[in-house]
Amino acid sequence: MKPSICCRFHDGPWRSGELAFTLAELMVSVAIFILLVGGVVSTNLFGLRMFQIEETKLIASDGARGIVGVLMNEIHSCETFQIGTFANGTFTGLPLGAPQIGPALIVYPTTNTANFIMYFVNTADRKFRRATSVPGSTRIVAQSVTNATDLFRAQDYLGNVLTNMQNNTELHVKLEFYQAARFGVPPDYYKLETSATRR
Amino acid sequence: MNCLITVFSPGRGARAQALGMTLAEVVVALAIASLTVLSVVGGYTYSTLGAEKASLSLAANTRALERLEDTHAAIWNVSTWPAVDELVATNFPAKLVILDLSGQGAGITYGTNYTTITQVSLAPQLRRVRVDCVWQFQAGRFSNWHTNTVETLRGPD
Repeated sequence: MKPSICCRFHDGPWRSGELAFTLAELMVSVAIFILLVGGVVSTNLFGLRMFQIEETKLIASDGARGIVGVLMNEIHSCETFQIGTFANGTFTGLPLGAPQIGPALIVYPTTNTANFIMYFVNTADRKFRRATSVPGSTRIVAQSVTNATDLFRAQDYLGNVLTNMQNNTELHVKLEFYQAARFGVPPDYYKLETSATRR
Repeated sequence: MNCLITVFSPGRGARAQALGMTLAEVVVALAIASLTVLSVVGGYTYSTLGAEKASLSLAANTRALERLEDTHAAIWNVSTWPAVDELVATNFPAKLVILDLSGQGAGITYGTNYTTITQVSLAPQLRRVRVDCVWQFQAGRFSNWHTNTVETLRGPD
């Protein structure tokens, strides 16, 4: 067999058949490239959509983790707590004899009632906030909380709602997060419930 | 002058092998590209499922903690006569709880809380309370069962 040798940079004119792409080759190359780019773009759009679908749960989980850890510690170690309502910057406790279910909670870490921690939901912006007796300490701990009426509940160990505050009252917390449909992403919902008992 | 030298055997088909792409090469290239894209899509899907599972696991954990707190609210007073003891297994049967609701449709994820109370010692009085929240992650072929367990020790009031 006698091998043939061709030189790319020869002195004469270029021979298209050997040295450049033909139209068909170019079209095939461009088609493959378009398929690749299309695949990558579609994949990224798919990932973005997945993120949007999971966004509610991720935000809700994040808020819930922050709330549960702090709130449970505060209830475990508090002197007393009270369930009530919050409006115009004022907490109003539920009267004894009424079912202890409400959208706001005030926790007294010590016997000094001037020192308190308060949790409440603002129904206007659906944000769950934590405030203390220190002025300017209010901060948002969760967003898109939609259950504004039955957030906190005082119950006994069997789950019966109490109408007074016993020594072994259990505080039940229910957080419901809801994100409406937007940009073609279906609505999503996340619920988190737990309880804490004063030690 | 630098020369690029290609060596090929003369004959039918040799030119095509040296200068163009065969159908097999195109198919292989497309297959590799498809595998790459599928891998990335699979990664996104797995990430989404992971986030979903993590949020459900958190919900199950808080539900188990809820049951544990129920046991803490039960009275166990041995200093009175007769002694009050609500911290017994019959007061805490298996309980079906809702972990999460779907944003659309009827997809509800349930969990079951199993409470186990065992006497660890009599002097001093000490009991172990264990709560297992068993739930199923429902995601087609990724479905599987999980258990979130919390455990604590408790003495009389």
